[in-house]
Parts: sequence; C-alpha cells; structure tokens
Amino acid sequence: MELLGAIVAPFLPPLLDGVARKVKALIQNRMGPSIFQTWYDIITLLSMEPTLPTGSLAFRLAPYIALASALCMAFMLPYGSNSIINFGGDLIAFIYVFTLFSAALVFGALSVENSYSHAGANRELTLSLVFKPLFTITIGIFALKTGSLSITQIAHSISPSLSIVGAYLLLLYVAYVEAGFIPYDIAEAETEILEGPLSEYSGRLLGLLKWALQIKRFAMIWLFASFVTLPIAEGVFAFVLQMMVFLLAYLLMVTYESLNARYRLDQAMNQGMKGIVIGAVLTIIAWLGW
Amino acid sequence: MIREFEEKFGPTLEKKVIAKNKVLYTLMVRREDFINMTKYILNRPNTRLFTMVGMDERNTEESFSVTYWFLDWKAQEVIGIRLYVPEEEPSFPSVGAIHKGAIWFEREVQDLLGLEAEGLPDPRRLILPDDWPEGVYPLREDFQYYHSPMGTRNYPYREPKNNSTVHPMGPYHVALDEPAHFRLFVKGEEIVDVDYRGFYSHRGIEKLARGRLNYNQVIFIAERVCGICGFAHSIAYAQAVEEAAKIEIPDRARYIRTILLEIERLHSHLLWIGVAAHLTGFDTGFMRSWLIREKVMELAERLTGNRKTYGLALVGGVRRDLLDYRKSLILETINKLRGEVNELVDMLLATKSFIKRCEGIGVLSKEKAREWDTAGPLARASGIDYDTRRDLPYAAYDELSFNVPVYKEGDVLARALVRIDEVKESISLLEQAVDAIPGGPVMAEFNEIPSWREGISAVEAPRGENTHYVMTGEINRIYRWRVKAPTYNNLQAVSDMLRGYTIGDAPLIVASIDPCYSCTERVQVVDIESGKAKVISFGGMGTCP
Repeated sequence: MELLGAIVAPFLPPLLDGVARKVKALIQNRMGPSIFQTWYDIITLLSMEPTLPTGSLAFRLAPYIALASALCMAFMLPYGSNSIINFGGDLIAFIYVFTLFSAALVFGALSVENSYSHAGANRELTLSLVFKPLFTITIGIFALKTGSLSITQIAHSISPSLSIVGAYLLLLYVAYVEAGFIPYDIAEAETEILEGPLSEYSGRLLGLLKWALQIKRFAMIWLFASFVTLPIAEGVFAFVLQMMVFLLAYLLMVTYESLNARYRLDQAMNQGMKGIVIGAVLTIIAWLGW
Repeated sequence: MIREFEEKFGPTLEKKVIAKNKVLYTLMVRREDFINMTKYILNRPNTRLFTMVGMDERNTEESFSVTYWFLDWKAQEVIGIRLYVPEEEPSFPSVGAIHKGAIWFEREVQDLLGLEAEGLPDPRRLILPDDWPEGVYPLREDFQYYHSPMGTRNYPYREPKNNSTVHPMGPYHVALDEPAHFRLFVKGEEIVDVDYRGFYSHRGIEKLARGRLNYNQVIFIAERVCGICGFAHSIAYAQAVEEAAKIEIPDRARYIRTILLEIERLHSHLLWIGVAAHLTGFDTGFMRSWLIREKVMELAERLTGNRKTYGLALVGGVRRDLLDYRKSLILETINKLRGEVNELVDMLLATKSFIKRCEGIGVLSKEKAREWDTAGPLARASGIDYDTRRDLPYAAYDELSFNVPVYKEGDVLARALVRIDEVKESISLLEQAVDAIPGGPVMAEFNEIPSWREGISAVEAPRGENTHYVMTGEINRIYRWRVKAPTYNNLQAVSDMLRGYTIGDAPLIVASIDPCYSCTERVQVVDIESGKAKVISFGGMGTCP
C-alpha cells in the first residue's frame, strides 16, 4: 500500500490538474484540453534547457528543494494504514518541510533582479506569516486531542468532539488556501504579477516548480482526506476511502475556484487572521476537554 | 456659450460658422487674450476641451495654426478658437498650464509640427519614437510621408523619488493587450507615482490620409484606426466630411448607422466585462461574457459580412442596405441576448470576491475627471452626465429614447455598472431602431466636395467620444484630418487613478478605462526598422482590452 502511495503521490497530481481543467472548462461552457495536458506541459518543460537570468545558485537549487519538500510532505502522509516515511514526531518534520517549500520559492524569487519576482516573493512571505501559523494551530488541535506527534497515529486515533469538528473545517480551509486555488493564488497571480516567483523560471526548472506545486496541492488535500477517513477505516479499504474523500474535496475545491475572483493580499490576510482567531478559540475548547 | 462668449470677446475675433451651433473664431490680434478666453470657456459648467488641431497652413495662410475646440454639452454648442503661429517664431501660450486636459495635445503639436507651447508643464516627447532626430517634424507639409530619418536613442524618464523603486508595467505585460509602458514608482506594493510612455503603436494614418488617399479611401483607414470601435471612427469621419460638404444623408442610412453603432457597443462592452473578470482571476465570468459576445459578432457578420470592421460606412450614407429578413434576425438575437446578459450580470454581481476587487479601487473624483476631460463610461462613473449620443445628437439618436447611466462613486465597480447598464440600453435602442427604420435610399446624392471647408464631429464610441476634424483640400483629398480617441484623455487620468493603490490593482485599474492604444496613437510616422512607410495591416490593429 505504501508502495502505491509512492507512485500516486508524484504522478497523480498533474493528472488531477488535467481533470480540474476539464471541470473548469465544463463550468465555463468550453471543451477544455485533454486531461493529460498538464502532464504534456510538464514533460515538454522538463526536456527544455532553462534560460538563467542570474548566476545565483539559490535560483537554480530552489526548484529542486521545492520538489524535494513537496515529495517529503506527500511521503509522510498515510496511504491506507501506513505512510512511506514515518517516525515519532514526524508531524514537526511535516510542518518543517511545508515551510521549506515556501522558503525555497522565496529564495529563488529573491535571487533575481525582477520586481515581479520580488513582489511574488513578498506576497508568498506575507501569506506565510498568517497561514503557516494557522496550519500549525489547526494541526496542534489534532495533536492535543490525540496526544501524539505522529501523523499516522493521529489519523488513526481521532475521536469526534466539538473542537475536532471545528479543526476539520479549519484544516479544509487551510488546505484550500495552501493548495493555491483562486481566490488564494495571490503569490502566483498571473494577470497581476506575471506568476510572481515563477516569472523568471523557464524550461526544466519551471517544469520542476510546476510539478512541485501540484504535489504540494495533492499533499494538503490528502492530509485532510486521511484525517477524515483513517479513524473509521483500515488497510485497502482505507486507501479507497481516502481516495474517494480526496477526489470529492478536490472537485469541490475546483468548482469553488471557478466561481470566484482572486483576493487582494490584504483581503486574504484578513480572512487568515479570522482563521487564526477561530483556531485560538478552538484550541482553548480542546484544552478544556470538549 | 456662443452668445456669452461673443458678448465678452466679440470685437477681437473673426467669425466663421461651421454648422448649426458650431462656430470657429480666429484670433486676429492680441494673443494675450487667448488664455483668458480659454479660461472663460473652461470655467463654465458643462464645458470641455473637445479636441485640438495643429495645422501647417503655410501654403495658404503663410503660418501654422493651432485650433482649440470646446464643447458645451448642455447648450450643444461647439466653439473653436484658432491661433496663427508664425514660422519665424513657432510658439504659442500653453493651455496645458491651466488645464491638464490640454497637455497631450500640446505635446503632440510640439512633436509633429514643431510648435512650442510656452509654459507647458511636461514638454517631453510624446508621440515620436525615442530615436527620432530633433528638429524633424513629420506633419509639416514639406515632410514626405515615406521619409524615415534616424537619430540617437534617448528618452528622459522620470526618476523615482523618496526611496520608491520602479516597477515597470509593460511595454509587454500579460494584462496589456497592446504595448504601453507604465513606470509605477512603488513602495512595497503601494504605488506612489506613475510615469507613462506610450505611442509604440503609432502608425501614420493622418499623414497617410493627407499624402495619398482620397475621401472614400480614408473612411476605410478610419475604420482601421481601432479594432474594437472602428465603425464609430468611420462614422465620425464621415460625419465630419458631410458637415464640411453640407451633405444631408438619407433617413434609412441614419438608422442603419445607429443599428451598427449599437451592435458595436454591445460587443465592446461584453468584451470589457470579460476582460475585467479575467484580470481578477474570475475566468468563468470571462468565458461566459465572451460566449454572449460571440452571438453579437455573428449578428454583425450576417448584417455586414464582417464580424468586426464592418466596412459599411461611406461619406453620404452606407454602402449596403439591410435586407428585411435580417431585421427579424436582429430582433431574435437581441431577445436571446437580453436573458443571457441578465444571467451574466446576476452571476457577476453575486460573486462577492469579484465585487470586492472592484469596489473602492481606482477612484477618480469628478473634479479630476473634468480636469482631464475624460469621456465615456469613465466620466459617467465619476458623475459627469455627458454622452454625445444625447448631447450632440447624430445618426438617429435624437429620434430614439434611452437613458444615460451616471454613477457617482468613480471606482472600478461604478465603471463596470455603467457599462452593464449601457449594454441593456443598447439592446433597447436596437429594438427601437429596427422598429422605426424607414424605407428609401441609403446614399445621398452629391457633387464634388468643395475645398477648404471644415467639419468637426463626434461619435459616442464604447469608450467615449471619438472626435474627428476634417479640413477639405484640393483634388479630392483631405488637407487635415484629426482623430481624437477617448483613450487619449482617459489614459492621462490613469496616473491619478493608480496613486495609492497596489500593483495588484494596477492591471484592473488600467483596464477599467477600457484603453485602446492604437486608437490613441494613430496620427503619423513610419516604420523605423524597415525605413519604409507602412500601410496599415490587420496585424497592427488594436485588440483592445
């Protein structure tokens, strides 16, 4: 089962993006491209030599670091009963690589002289200031209620309570935001800042970054799906159930995305701050034992 | 306005009546009175600088001339004040120093004719390319349209002040469909100041019209001034020539013109609504809007043979008649449109995140809107109740009833709402026009167009008024043709609209005026790289956002 996870995590996300494009096209009364289009794009990009606007090592390394952190995130999540990488306290490591992903994007973007890249980096950082803590708070509620710091263990031992229901909703929200769907694709806004951190990347490096973004998106939603399904299922059945919940959440998110416009940075920050307040209240409720 | 003006300044002026309610005064003596006159006119309520025309009249009057045309849209009167500028001392007092709306006009005559406006706040080059040599003025009569001199490249951009940095937007930017270069001076994401350099798609239309086209060829070039509101340009040109030659066009032609002008407005506004949605990331709104627009394009194709650039206008009428069965086609289409537009609008206005992005953004106050002489939906969203269809009626608009939507907020949302209301008005106008269209011929009969007559006319294009001025010349040619597109004024106001907002808002704010660069940048000049005069091709036409 873990082996299946090792195949699904890197290779399924671009295909899912293809499905998302098809769904969006249907909503917009269009034909849309083939569901393999995102894969075609990535494969084409991977075969192309990148044009480097700077000699900086950080610029060239950033896509690899981003891909590695995205893969680490995905591999730490349970597929069926177990995850590929697991150890006591892997929750902390998960949060760490999750942050490393954004850091890689920011460093890559800041290493070139381009005000669009810089604006993107600035936006990514600002969003991180709100949504990374929000994610930590949300995960913290689960850890507090289950008394564990291992993702797999937490997922298996969640029992329903008031704070847990709240935490589920909050996790769904953070997953949506961190998956970079509109209205929260602010750092990579194409019509505003030309995809921000991505704007100077090309060829292989751009392909890697796009792939990494897809895997991160997958990991965020898969985490939610795992927390929902694993408390009630085991083994192969759990994996099937995980996949179903994941797909449902993914399709709902895509639909919601296509019915919305992008937020401005300050508007997104306001939403995030509200999330943090709710998270804090939920933590108190959890601490009180509900 | 005309009566009061004459009472005050009459004795020093030579008067020439162009048409009913349109007069031209030539200032014979006392140039110092000129600024007082413009101040007097512009300080009145409901007046605007309509257009400004610089001319090389050395062949006939032995000097250059600049003519400022003013409009009082409540009184429906047009006044022109002409000032002769001698070749030995080519300068005149600047109106731009007291009225911002005149700045680009004066920078333009400085570039193209070498006439200096004394006291102009921003005398930098506006139209000519960065590497055009000093002292070569392409709109002068002794300059051949195929000539292409080379100079050294130099442009004095403004430098950022107070620790701000430059965030360049354009010449190529995903949100700008045509080249334009906004230098945004930013602190973080906040825009503190703006510098603009444009006119990259400057083509040479006015010189071309002077150099090698006859009256009926110009009308097709006029239509190609813009890829979106081209028909409005061709009608404005036709009307100016008709005014100069005193041609009355048949009623049926007036109605056909009205019908096509409204179809053009429909497609343009639907296009804009789509683009606005796209810029905020709301692609569903974008696709839905363009799907509706497609039906309007198809209708235009059935009526004229072309989806865009209808090629239907001629001086004196229209080229082809509307067949009767096509009338029912129009009615069928607009009946379908009405429901679909309502659905689209409901969806847009129900999308909170879209509204949030538009509300309170890019605010232009009424005072600023008047200072820059903004036009069209931009002006109407800032509380200026002005629409040439009602205030300077042409075609069949005086026989049809419609509302002019006006909002006070002056933000992007208000501009969107003005356009949405206008879409609905256009549908109703089409219905009325189809219903009331009379029979009869579609072309007026007229003889040769007399020389040295003048005409000035405006058409309310989707973005505001297209003002065309024409002076007829000899051998069936135009002596001077001046095109002013609404973006010419609206674009200048963008700097004021951008200040204080973020770079994330900038594309939406720029798009909210519905800018059309190739309209604005027409006039003169040749392709620098090949060194040849370029005849206008479709590739160079604006796909205006």
